[in-house]
Amino acid sequence: MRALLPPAVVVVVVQVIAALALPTLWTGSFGPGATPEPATDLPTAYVGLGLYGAAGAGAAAWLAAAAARRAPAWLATLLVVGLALPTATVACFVLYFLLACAGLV
Amino acid sequence: MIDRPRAPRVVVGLLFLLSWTVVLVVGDRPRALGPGAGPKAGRAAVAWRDHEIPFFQWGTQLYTLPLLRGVYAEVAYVTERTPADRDRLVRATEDLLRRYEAVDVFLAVHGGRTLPHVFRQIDPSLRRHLRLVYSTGCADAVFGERWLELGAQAFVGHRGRLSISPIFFVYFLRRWSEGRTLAEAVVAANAQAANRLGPIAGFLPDGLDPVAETRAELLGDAALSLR
Repeated sequence: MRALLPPAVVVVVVQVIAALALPTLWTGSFGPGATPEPATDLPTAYVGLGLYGAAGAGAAAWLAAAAARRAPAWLATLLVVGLALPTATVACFVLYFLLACAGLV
Repeated sequence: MIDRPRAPRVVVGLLFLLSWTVVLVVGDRPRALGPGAGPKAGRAAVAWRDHEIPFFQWGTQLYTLPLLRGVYAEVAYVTERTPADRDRLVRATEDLLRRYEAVDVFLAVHGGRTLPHVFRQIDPSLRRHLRLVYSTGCADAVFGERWLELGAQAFVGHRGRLSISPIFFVYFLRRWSEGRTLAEAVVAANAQAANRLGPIAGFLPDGLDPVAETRAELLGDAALSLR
């Protein structure tokens, strides 16, 4: 069971980053009607999103693998469906978005 | 102790199979199936993002700019941050109209901000190089005829006052940059937007039909394409 803790923590951290980043990006440091500047330049944004997508996909795979190997069936199902699947889906969406921006898909 | 040596491979495989299925169904199919855009030479694009929160402005640029750069020889992308940026938009458009045979304009805007009058400042002899004008603005379809009078060969816009245009725009830009004709791109993007917006209709106030509100209309030359 202890083997489940590190990937679960990483998955939660990835989700917390998303939860914190979105409102920050949403409001920016300026707010509607002000004269906003972009949060970052495009290459940095693409790299950041790429790292986020890779980290999310990796953490979800790590957690799912650990849960499938070690956890009781009910806990494995809970972790895979409740944590790994949403994280992997968001990560895949981010990676697909980046591929689409690059004109590759 | 529980130990299932083969289970991880199966579970991780299923996890990503399911994730990618969701992404492809909710998102879009890969673009490689299209006819492909022709050579970029001779055409340029102008994209304009009007006042919005930074996140939306950033997201619009993140998605739009690289796709346009992939199929146009030159792209002028202007984000509205101060009133002076409208002048920047006009100057950038003039510059491209002078140097390119065909210039397409993509306006990521809120409705009712009558941009045609801004472009009226441009010399009519240059405006004849305007080709496609697309506007995300709610109810901006009412400006369609004015855009054609200004010199655009075709206009695509939304008649609904509560149009969820970004959904349409994502698909429209992908289909257009595949090299499909304008008519094909609009029909495909309308259908894809309808597929995604239809299911949310039941959660909206009575009488609000997101599919009808978002449906785009095409005026002018429907046979235009990037081929």
